[in-house]
Amino acid sequence: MNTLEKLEWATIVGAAILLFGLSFMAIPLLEEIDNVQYYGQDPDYTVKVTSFQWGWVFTYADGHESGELIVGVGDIVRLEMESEDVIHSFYVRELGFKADIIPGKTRIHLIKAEVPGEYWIQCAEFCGAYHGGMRTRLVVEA
Amino acid sequence: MTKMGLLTTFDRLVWAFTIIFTFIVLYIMGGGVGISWYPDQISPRAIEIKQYFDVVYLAGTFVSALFIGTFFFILFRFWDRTQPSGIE
Amino acid sequence: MEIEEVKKEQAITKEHAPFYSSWKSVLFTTHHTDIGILYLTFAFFFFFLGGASSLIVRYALTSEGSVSPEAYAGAFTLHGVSMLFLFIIPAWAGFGNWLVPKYIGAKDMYFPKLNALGFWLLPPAGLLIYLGMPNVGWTMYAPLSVYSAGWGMDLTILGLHLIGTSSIIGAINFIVTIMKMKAPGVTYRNMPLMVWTQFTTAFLQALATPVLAIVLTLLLLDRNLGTGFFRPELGGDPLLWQHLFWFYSHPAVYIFVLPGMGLVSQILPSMSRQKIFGYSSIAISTALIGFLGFGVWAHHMWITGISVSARIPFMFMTMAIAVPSGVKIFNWIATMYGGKLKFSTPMLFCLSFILSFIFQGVSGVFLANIPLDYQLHDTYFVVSHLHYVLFGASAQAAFAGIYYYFPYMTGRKYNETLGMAHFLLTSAGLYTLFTSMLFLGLQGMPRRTYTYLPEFFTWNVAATFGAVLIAVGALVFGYNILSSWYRGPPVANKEDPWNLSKYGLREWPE
Repeated sequence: MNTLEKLEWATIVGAAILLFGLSFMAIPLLEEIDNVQYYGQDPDYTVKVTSFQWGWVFTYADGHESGELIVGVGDIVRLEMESEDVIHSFYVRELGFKADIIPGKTRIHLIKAEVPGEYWIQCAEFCGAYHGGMRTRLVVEA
Repeated sequence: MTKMGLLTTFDRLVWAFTIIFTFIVLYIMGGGVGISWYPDQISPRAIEIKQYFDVVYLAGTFVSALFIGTFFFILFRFWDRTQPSGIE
Repeated sequence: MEIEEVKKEQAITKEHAPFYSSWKSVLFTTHHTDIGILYLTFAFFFFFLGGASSLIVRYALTSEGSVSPEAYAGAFTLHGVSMLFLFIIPAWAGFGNWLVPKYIGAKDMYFPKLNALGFWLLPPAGLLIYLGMPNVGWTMYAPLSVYSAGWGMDLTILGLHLIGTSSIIGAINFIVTIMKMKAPGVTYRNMPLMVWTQFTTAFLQALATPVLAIVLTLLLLDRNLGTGFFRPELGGDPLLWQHLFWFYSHPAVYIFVLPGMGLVSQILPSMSRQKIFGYSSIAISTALIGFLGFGVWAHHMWITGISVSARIPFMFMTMAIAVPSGVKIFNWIATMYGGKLKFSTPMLFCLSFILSFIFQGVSGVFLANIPLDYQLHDTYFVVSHLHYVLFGASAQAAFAGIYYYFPYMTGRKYNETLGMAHFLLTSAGLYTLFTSMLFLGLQGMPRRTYTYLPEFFTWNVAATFGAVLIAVGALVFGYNILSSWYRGPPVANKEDPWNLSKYGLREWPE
């Protein structure tokens, strides 16, 4: 076996260790992201998210509706997401979070925003011609 | 043909330098220092994802630098300038 | 006996007049080199059409609403469908047709008439797709594609059915040709790597394309008979589309790129003036990529809500596929080590191929890690990643192949200066364009949007600038190839235009 062949095996073994190591690191994080508790805490309240071509409606626990998602800072909010027509995707880049909303299914996800301000909610799955315009605000109130 | 003896000590230094240089360039370009393409995260889970991203980014930059640095080094080291570029 | 005589006559007349000098011989030719050139001509015709629609996309994104959202959706769909189904797949079939029989020392393909049929299914398919003008993205996700109004979607589905049939026919022909027609002395252990990649690709096509046919048929039924396979209110499931579609389309990614790797594995050693390093590890990694490629489709669906226990094995499979890809990069770089590199146009395209392939591999590792997809999925990061594969790797390998085999195919020289100009424009454009997209993706710009947040504007301008450079380069390429084909200077040594024998190498087996 000459030097280059040894190097090739080193590449194979090194790459395998690196890639599988990264994958193992991802597992606990992945399980946390999809958990129905936020680091072991139960959600404070639920907001129902309805998506349609091309817009969002947010329904709060008291029955009141709005076009922007308004949450309190530090609240653990349980989102119940549904779609009325085609697949949409709820994406807030500051929350590092995106979820496809498949029609006929309810997608549940917890969010917790700790910095007050206004952020964009964008639709991330192509949902028809006006997909690009399908965005609204996430308002985190202090 | 496949002996490492083809390379002098100077060559090896240039090779190492190319890899380090590539690493620095890629690390800065992708937002490792100063510039941040990745938006500031506002939730605990998102911050953990960002930390994980940083680990993957470091590993990715390291692997890219090894491959790309070696690639450019070999490219220029074994460029046979006596051959014309076109069909002879 | 009679057929033999006709074939002999054809062979003699071929020496004097090329097959494209009469319409009759274009329509009825069954010779593998002729079919190969037909495939390549067809492919590059649609390369220019698909490229034009990508320019509409870039124009829409940098000129505040001068393109309507409907036209924008049509443009990016047409770009995707043209490039994938009407450019890359036919281009690889073209190279395969021209090269595989020569590389294994066969006179023709095993089924010459089926070969001609495989090609002639494509022009009607292209016509149907361009008449249909689909506007739901090349992935045609249900239920959006079920609700899409008009006949456009139905015509597109029929067009894709024709392409699928053509590629199954072609794949079976390649498999049989490679298994049965190897000349004495050519074996699985020494046949050129180009043949190995075509062999693997043919298996992928033959096994995966029927699934595409199934899922397209279900969509056609849903649209026209109201069956509701993909409609939840009728008991269907939109995710069924994604599972079946990606069960075809992920192996299809390897169908798009493996033959390009094969071309690079031929051209790079020739231009490095030494034998390829690690023949068997490249052949094994090709077969391994093909095999693993069937088990990773769910990585297109990380955020659709499929269970964690389903996603984790797919993550490991996806990571595993990066290993044979890394082996290939290692072998290509090692092939150059100690060689006498000749920087001709095909060599430069091969080098840029390797660089793009490294970029796509590393960005692919980001995307394979599921937690990062909550941020990166369906953003421009993905667009950048897939274009590094499909343009940076596949299309550049096709350019390299065209330049490298040009003297063999036509007996003429291409213009080296124009070739260099094409290379410089393409690589400058490509790295500007797709690196800008990488930054846009990290900043969180979703893909397929006709409008976007104002902070993304700067890098979109940079991306459009890159796209224009690529387009100018493509025009230079088109001019160079066409003009050299008709009046380029003849090569001195048609059997060995790249002077391989001087370095103890040979192109075709004895």
